Order: sequence, then structure tokens, then C-alpha cells
Amino acid sequence: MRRRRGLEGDGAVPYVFLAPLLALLAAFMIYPVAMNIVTSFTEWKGYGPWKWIGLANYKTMIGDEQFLASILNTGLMVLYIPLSTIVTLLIAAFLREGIGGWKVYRAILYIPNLLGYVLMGVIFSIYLRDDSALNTAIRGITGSPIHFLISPVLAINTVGLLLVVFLHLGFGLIYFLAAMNGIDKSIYEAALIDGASFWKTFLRVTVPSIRFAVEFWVVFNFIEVFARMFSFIHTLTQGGPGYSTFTLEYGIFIQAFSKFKVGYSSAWSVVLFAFCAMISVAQIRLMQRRDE
Amino acid sequence: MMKRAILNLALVTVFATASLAAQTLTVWDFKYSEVNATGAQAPMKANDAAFEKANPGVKVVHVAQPTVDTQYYPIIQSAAAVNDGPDVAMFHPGARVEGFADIIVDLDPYIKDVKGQFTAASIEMCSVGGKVKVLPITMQGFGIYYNKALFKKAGLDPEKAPKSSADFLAACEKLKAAGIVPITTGQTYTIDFFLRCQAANAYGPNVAGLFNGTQKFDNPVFKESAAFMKTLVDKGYIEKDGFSRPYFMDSIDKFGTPSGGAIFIGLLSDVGNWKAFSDALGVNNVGYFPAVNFPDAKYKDQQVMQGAGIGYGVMKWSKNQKLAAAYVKFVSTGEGAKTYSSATGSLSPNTQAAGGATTYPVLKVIQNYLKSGQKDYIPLGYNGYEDEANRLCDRAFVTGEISIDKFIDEYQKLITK
Repeated sequence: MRRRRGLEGDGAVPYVFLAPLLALLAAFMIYPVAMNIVTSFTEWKGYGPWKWIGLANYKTMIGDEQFLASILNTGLMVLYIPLSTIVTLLIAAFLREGIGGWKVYRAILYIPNLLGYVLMGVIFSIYLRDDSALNTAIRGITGSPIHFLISPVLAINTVGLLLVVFLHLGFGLIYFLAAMNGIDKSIYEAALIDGASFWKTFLRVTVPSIRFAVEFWVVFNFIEVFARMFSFIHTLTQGGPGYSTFTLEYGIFIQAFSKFKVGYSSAWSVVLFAFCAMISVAQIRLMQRRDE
Repeated sequence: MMKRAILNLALVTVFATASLAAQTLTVWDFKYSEVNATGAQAPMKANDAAFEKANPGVKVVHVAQPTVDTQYYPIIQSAAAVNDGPDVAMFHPGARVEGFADIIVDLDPYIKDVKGQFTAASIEMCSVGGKVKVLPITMQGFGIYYNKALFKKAGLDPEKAPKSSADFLAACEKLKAAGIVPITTGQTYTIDFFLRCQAANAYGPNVAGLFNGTQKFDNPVFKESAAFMKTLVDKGYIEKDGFSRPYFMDSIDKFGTPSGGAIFIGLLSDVGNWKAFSDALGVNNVGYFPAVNFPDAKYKDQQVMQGAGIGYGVMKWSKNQKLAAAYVKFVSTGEGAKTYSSATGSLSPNTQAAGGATTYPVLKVIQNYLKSGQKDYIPLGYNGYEDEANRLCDRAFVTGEISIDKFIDEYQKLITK
């Protein structure tokens, strides 16, 4: 007799096994998200009673310059994702070629990932100050420092380059090298016999062979940009100068924990959630395509 | 069987006695982590020990919480969300106390005997709806310190404070020409504190009018002050490198070194105050004046002040409210207040706890100006007001994104945001 697909044929056992995970999912994902959506329609300071105010938070948000600045800044960070992807792929491809001591380079480039965003934010806040040793050296050569942290244009681009490109590099290398190791070596040998250059091999063999890994990397970077930049920005620029590095995620923190407008902050969070949900849907679609 | 019963009885007795003996009082504090020479931890430890001695069986657990507003107050917020936390917590009187007023005990029934010791300004600032919510251990203010040795080196008269706008600019020019950094600068607060100093000269006793609509930021003296700050930046008198350097404590420490810069816009109490600078630069090397005077200003030499800088409140969820109130009284009055003030150089709002730091000439100068103390406008705002105001200052003075006129317009809008 053919066994039925799904859980029905196994009685309650699968549900028992699933229950702990479902309980955790409900407690730490579904409930907070649902409560956040509910809170976004209220005026609440994080404790005590709340007041239902309907769509007022959303109306305020649309006209809020800080919110618009945060969307713009987050969008700017997204623009660094292609650069991050290309740079990481290229360096991984170089390392895969077997440069002498490549394991050492890989280890060095991975160190920032071990230190984490908070430490890296603090370290760069010291390195990039106008009176830092780095800027003293730059001043010695050019006559003036580079205002990494106090020029609005430089500050946001510094965050983009450091966080999206540099700090993701170590993990990206490990990830792409692992993916590249899965490529059949005979393809590279064939390319070599045909006289293909490094670039041709990279574009025609390496990248197409790890396309799914690249797609996942892009999705991963989107999530990082939308939902994991806070600690780095908080320790490096605190969203400043002015609102020049004030991202959506940073704004949520300021509204909730500096102004104690938790209801309003929740409305910002709903927008962030919507972005993340769209990215997740894209990721699921990619995975489904790979399965097919 | 008998042996086991006796053993159980003994254990129960031991635990019961222990729990009765050790009544714990938990204090959350954002200054307890200060372990430097004039830091808060040493006098706080001394006060805790004295309180424990005066109250046998009481154990004070003093917890060092983060010093930054945006880290400390969310912890209080979280405690409030679960209605559990410390018995006593430190607060900044003003907007912060007002924001958390619903979780802080009214202290009036506990402080009838000592309330009169505190200045009226401090009690007003620590009260919400006429009820005293915290007892202050410091009063606060901002002013302009200068290094007399560097003034002398630049050929300036160190005993003549450059109080007028013309003298101030001339002094900066002379200092710059002598290769001395005219104004040591720190991220965000240098400009913020300067404007707060200048508001005292702009509005005199009417500062609070900014929040009831009777006063505006387009007041000529305040506007002139903003333009003056822009001039200081443009002429390179404000050390532009400092705009990316943390004010706390890097810039404070820098001014405290002999070649760290000639002028510093700093605090009167808590950290980086007259005592710290005098100890670092020499008691006769620190000069002070409260604000820059403009020729057409109605008010001059006005000292901006907060009646209360920091203070302690008793939390509503505390099961030891009476004991907690006794602790708050203990550290803010009598020997407790004196211990804290004399060790940290903080100015006490308790009139009976005036420090005996007569060996510091600059303190006498400050005390003289305090007679003309005017309210600081920032604590009159809402939670997060200072953050918004400072970001606007950055845009006008650091990045140059907006003009002074636009700055004044936007600064005004923040009042009612």
C-alpha cells in the first residue's frame, strides 16, 4: 500500500516533535510580530497602559523628515550590495587560483567577523576621527584630514563601504570559496586547455556555476542592511552627523528608547518588517527555483 | 527520624535568620562606574557603607548601569514593563523624571524634615505635578573655562576673562596666532552647551517662556549667539578636529592637559568640572565666565543652571519603599551630600552641604555667577529633545547643511514637535 504523504498518516507523533519548535516560533516570532503590528496603532511608551490612535502613527511617519531620511539612507546602503558581491566574488576567485599563502589572507580577512560589529564600530570610530593617527598621516600628505565622520556624504559612504563591503568580506570569502570548491575541476581544466583567461573563466565558469550561492549572498546582504546595521552605526556615528547615517533600524531605536514613543517606533518597525518580508519571499522563491 | 527533623529545623532557622538579617536595597546608578580621581564611585561606596552602618542588617547593592542616556533609560523602561527592578534609581531631573513620573514614588511624606534644605530651583526641577519625585545630589550648569597659562603664553591677560564678544574673538585670534588651539572641542556637546550658556544671556529669567510661546528662538541675542558660533567655526577658532572626538571624556581630558587648548565649554558638576580642571592644570590656572556678552544684550554675565543635575528616586515596585526613601535622604543630605560633593567637585543643591573647597579660586568665581542663575531650557523639553536639538546643531555648525536662519526656524519647530 502506498504511504500517504504529509503528516496525516503518522498520527500525533510528528506534531509532538514539531511542538517545541512551533512553540518557540510562536513565542519569539509570531507573537512579537503580531504585537508590534497592534502596538503600531497605539500611543505607548513601552510600559503601562496604551491608547488606541488608529492610523495616526502612520500618518505622522509619512510626513516625518527623519523617517524619509532613514529610508533614503537605507536605500543608499542597498546600493553597496552589488559592490560587495563583486569584490567578494573576485577576491574569492583570486584566492581559489591558489595565491601563495591564501589561507593566511582568508584568515586575516575573516578577523572582523570574529570581533563583531560593536567592536569594529568602536575601532573605526577611533581610526576615522579627524584627529586619529590615520588622519594625521593623511594631513601630513595632503594638508588636510578626510572628514570620514563629520561630512554627511563621506559618513554614509564610509558606513556603506565598511559595513556592507569590508565587514562582510570575511564571511563572503569563506562562503564563496566553499561554493567554488564544489565546481567540477574538469571544467576549469577544459577552460585552461582552451586558453581562457582568468576573467573569461571567472565570468563563464565560476559565476554561473555558483549562481545560487551568489543569489543567496545578495539576499543575505539585504537582510544585513535592513536589520543588522544598528550596532555598527550606534558605535561609529550614532546616526550622525545630523541624520546623515540615520537608517530605518536606527530610527526605530531612537523613537523607542530615546523618545519612548514605542507605538510610533512600532509603525517604523512594521515598514522594516514589510521590507524584510519581501526579501524573505524572494529568498524562498530562489530556494524553490533551485529545488526545481 | 529525629535527627532529620532537627537538621531540617536547623536549616529552616538558618535560612529564615539569614533572610531577616540581610535586607537588600538595590540601587541603579549611571555614575557608579566612574572610578577616576574625581569619579563618583568612591564617595558612593563610602555613603553606602555609612548607610549600612547606620542601618544594621541592611545591605546596599549598588549596580553600575550604562552612563549613556540612550542605554540607561531603556533599562529603566524594561524594568517598568515587568514592574520589577531596583528599589532606588538615579535620574536626570526634568524631562526624564517627568517621563518616568508614574513609576517613581512621591517622596513628600518621607522628606518633610529635609525638604527645606534644598534650593527652591532644585525642588521645582525634581517635582512633577507638585510632588517631589527625586532628591538631587548635584546641581548642574555650563560655562566657559579657560587655561590661564595658555592665555599668558599667547600674551593675553589671564586675569581678564574675555567676556565680551569682541574680546572673545580677539583672544581666539591671538591664541591661534600663538599656535595654541583656541577652543577645545568635542562631538555634539560643545555647541549644545554654548547655546545653553547663551540662552541665559538672551532670555534672562524668561527662559521657560520658550516652552509656553512667550519667547522664541529668533530672539536677537540667541540668533547672534548662533551666528557667533558659526563665526568661531569658520575662523578655525573652534577646533574642527574635535567634532569627531567624543566630548565625554576625550575632549574633557584633552582640555585637562597643559597644551590641550585654551578655552573649553564645560560642565559645573559631575564630570569635567572646575575641580577636575583645577587639579589637572593647577588651581591658579583655571579661569571661568558663564557666557559671551553681546553689546546690545539686555542681560549679561548670566549663568545657565539646572537646579538639579542628578538625583535618586524610589521606585513604586520596591517592597522597601520606606528604607529606600531613607537611603535617598541619607545620600542627599548631611554627611552623605558633603561626602559626594567634596570628592567629585559637584555643586550641591543642598544648602547645608556646601563643600569646603575654598582652596579653589575658580569655585569662588563660579559661586559668584550662580547668584544670577537662569534656567536651562533643554530639561524643559520632552524625552529625546536634546538628541533632536543636537542633530540640528550638527547640521548647522558641523556639516554646514543649513544656514543660521534655517537653523533658528527649525530649532523653534523642535519645541512643539
